[in-house]
Amino acid sequence: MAQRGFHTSELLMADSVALLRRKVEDTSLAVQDGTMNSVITLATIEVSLFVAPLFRLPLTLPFKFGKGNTAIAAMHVDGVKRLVELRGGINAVRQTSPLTARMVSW
Amino acid sequence: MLIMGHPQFEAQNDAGVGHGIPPVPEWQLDSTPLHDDWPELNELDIDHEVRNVFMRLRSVFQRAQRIPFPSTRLHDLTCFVIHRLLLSASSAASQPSPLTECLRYATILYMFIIQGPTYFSHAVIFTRTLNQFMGNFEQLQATQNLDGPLDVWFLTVGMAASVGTPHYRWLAGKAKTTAAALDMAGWGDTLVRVKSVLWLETQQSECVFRPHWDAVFNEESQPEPPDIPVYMSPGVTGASFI
Repeated sequence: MAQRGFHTSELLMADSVALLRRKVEDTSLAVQDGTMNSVITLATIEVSLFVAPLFRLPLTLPFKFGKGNTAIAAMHVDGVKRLVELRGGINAVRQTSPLTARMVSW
Repeated sequence: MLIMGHPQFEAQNDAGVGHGIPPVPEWQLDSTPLHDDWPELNELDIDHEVRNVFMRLRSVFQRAQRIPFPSTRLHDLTCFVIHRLLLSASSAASQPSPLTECLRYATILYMFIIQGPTYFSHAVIFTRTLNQFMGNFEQLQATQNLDGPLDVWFLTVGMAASVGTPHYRWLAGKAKTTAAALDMAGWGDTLVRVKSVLWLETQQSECVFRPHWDAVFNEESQPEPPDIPVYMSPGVTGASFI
């Protein structure tokens, strides 16, 4: 059961990443609060869970656990920082979206 | 910051100038009176930025004794203070004194402890900060005899932060000798000293910090962590990104 659950969660994660990737590839959707919140949350999941990177192709790669995932997390963080810049900086994000600014800066 | 282990954005200055993370409104209230109420601190070898952040934080917490301090405000204050202290650590031109580093990292640990986990686990950065604190605190103990409220505060934060790590036993032993040297007989004696350094009264403050000193004052007890549900995530040991 546990193994099946884990397999299902991987599939769901892959779906989530695919959906989110569509958003980050469209600038107007990428800078939305929900997108930024999701990307930074994915970055935290990266350090302990295998998922494909959002900010680069392709989707199916044999990433390693541990150090490799840190690199992917860093990629997500860099991506969010670029989105923050597009919105005028972290303080500008904070003016309109305090929750997103908090999630991103922490 | 929690993911990468270091700040990803700048922090604004005391006046709120800059594009980075802003201070809370209370930060900009005048902290001069507090510099006056602890003149000895000015004589210690502490870098300006760390001293400034610490004194302003102290001022904010003293004000919080009179005026309610919302949890979201503490959340923002914690983020800002940790950013300021870590950013100044990475930009220091010369090697800061062990006392500067102890104050820097103990303040970060204290803020993490009273704030608790946020959106994501802070176990990794907390463990790293604890190790940095311990390296400097051991050096400080070997070269400088503080034996005052600041030493008691360092031990209080250190014990609460190091539960489940090899550092705990050393800190508890140090707390025992410090308590004897200062004629401290119980938690009341500790609390007076800790409050004179940096303290925010919260519902769980005493539950988090007191049991360790109670064990220290209990002569029968060995320097082991008391059997209490310790507050927070940092108890995770060995957590690492690599």
